[in-house]
Amino acid sequence: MVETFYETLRRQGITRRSFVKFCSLTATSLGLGPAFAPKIAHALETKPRTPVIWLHGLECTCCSESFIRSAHPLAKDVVLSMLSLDYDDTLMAAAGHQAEAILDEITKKYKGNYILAVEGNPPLNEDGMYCIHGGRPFVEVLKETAKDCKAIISWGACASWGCVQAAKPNPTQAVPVHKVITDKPIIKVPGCPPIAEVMTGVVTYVLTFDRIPELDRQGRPKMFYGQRIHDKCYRRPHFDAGQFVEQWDDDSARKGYCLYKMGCKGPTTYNACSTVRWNGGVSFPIQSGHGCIGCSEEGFWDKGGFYERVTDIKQFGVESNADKVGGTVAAVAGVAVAAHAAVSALKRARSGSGAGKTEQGDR
Amino acid sequence: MSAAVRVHESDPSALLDAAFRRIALEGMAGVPVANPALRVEAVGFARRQGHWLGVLITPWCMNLVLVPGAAAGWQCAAPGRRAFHRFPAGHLAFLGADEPEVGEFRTCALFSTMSAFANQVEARMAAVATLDALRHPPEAADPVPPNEAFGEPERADRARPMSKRKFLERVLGRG
Repeated sequence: MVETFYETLRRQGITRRSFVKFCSLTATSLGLGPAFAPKIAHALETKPRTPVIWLHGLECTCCSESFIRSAHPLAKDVVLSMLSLDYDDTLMAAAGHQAEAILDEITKKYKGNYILAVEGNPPLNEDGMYCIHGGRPFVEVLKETAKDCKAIISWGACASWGCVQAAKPNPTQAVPVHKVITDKPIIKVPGCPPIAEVMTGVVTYVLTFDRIPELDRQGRPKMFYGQRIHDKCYRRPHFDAGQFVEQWDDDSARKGYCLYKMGCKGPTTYNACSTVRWNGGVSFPIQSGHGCIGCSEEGFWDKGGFYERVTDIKQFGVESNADKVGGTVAAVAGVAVAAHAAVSALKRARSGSGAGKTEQGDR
Repeated sequence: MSAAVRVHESDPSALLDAAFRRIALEGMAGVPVANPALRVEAVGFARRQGHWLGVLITPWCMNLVLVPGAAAGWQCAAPGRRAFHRFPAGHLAFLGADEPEVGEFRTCALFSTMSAFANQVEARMAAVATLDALRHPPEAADPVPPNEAFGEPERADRARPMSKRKFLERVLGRG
C-alpha cells in the first residue's frame, strides 16, 4: 500500500495546522482563490504520493538551488516530502550503484505513474559523450527514464530552451528536452533559474490535481508565464511618462526610472518576476536597478547584448500573445475584436493570477 | 509629495492630453516603440465613485487612468506605489503617477506597445470596450481546466462516447 501525501507529511512530523496553512497558501499562489484550499487538502489526504525522478543533464544546478530556497514557509518540509524525490542526485542520500538501482526500481514499480523532472539538457554531439550519467550518455538515461513516465517537467532555460550550452556555436549540440522526448506531455518552467515559488507552485498543481496546468502555445504554465515583466513592472508609469535611465548611475537611475534604454528585456519577457518577485517577494532585478536580461525566453543568450535596447516592435511582446487586435476595419468584426482585446487586457491587469501576497508590496 | 492632492472639478481629459502630448515630444522622442498611426487621446472620462476614470491612448501605451475628483477617499500614493481598486471585473492594481499638467493620478496598464492597433479608431474601440468590460464580472473560467495531456487512455475514453456494447458490459458487470 502506497501512503498518501498527507501520511508522508504526518510521518515527518508536520502538524495538521501547518498542513492546512500550506494548502491555503498554495491555493493563493496558484491564483485559485481560498475556495480551492480544501480541494488541495482533500487531494493530498486521499491521493497516493506520486514519485518524482529529478534528472540532471548539462546544467549548473541553479534550478535546484532556487527550488530548495523557496521562501514558502513550509516548502522545505512539505514540498520536498510531497515530491517524494526518490531520485535526485543532488538531494538524495543514496550514491553510486545503489542510486542507479533506485532509478531502475522506480521506473519499473511506478511504470506510467511517475513524474520526470529534468534539470539541464542532453548534448547529442559525439553520441552524447559530453554528459555522462552513471557511466552512460545522459541522453540514453533520459530516453529510458522518460519512456514510462506520466509527464515531464522541464526545469529552467536549459531543459526548456537549451540555455547557454546551446548558445551559438553550441559545440556539444545541446538540445532542450522536447527535441529528444516527443511523446510525453512536457511542462516548461523556464528561467535561469525559475522562481522558487513558481517551481513549487507547478509541482503542487501537478501532484494535487493530477493534471498539467493550462499551458501557453510554447508549453509554459499560463498562470505564471501569462504576462510580461513590462505588464506588471512597478516602474511602468515611468515608461509611460517617457522617463528613462540614460546612463548607469545618472539622476534618473537614482530616481528609479524605466530601464528600457539600458537594455531591459522586460517588454519581451514572459515571467512572474514583477509580481511574485524573488527571495520571498523581497525584490527582483529591475527593483535592484538592473534591467531584465530575459532569462526565461528562448535563446536569450543569442538575442544581442543584455544592454542593447529592444527596438523591434514586432518582438515587443503583445503579438506573440493571444490578444492580437488585427487590422480589420469592418465595424462589427472590429467591435468584437476590440471587446476581446479589452477583456484580455483586463485579465492581464487583474491582480489575481500568480501574484499572491507580494503584490501588496509598495514597490 | 505635497500633502494636498490636486482635485479636478471638471473632466481632466484636456489636461491629460496636454501632458502626454508634451511627453511624446520630450521623453518619448526618438524612442522606437511608438505607433505612428496613433495620437494621444483621453477617452470616456467620467466620474466613478467621486473620481475620474477613463482610458488614455498614446502611441506607445494604453492605460486605465484614475484622476482625483474629490479629496475625500483619495489616498496619496507616491509614484511606483500600488493601489488596488475594486471593479465588477475584478481587483485592479493602479500605480501612482504625477505630471505637472495634471498633478497626481493613477494608471493601470492595458497595452504596450500599441503595434496591434492599425489606427486611432481601433484603439478607441478597445478603450471603450475596456471601460464597458470593467462594469461586468469576468466570465468564471474553471481554474482547473479539463486534463489535456495526462494519461492518454483516460482522455481517449472521455473523448469517445461509450459504445452500446461497452455500456451493457458495464451494466451487467462484465466490463
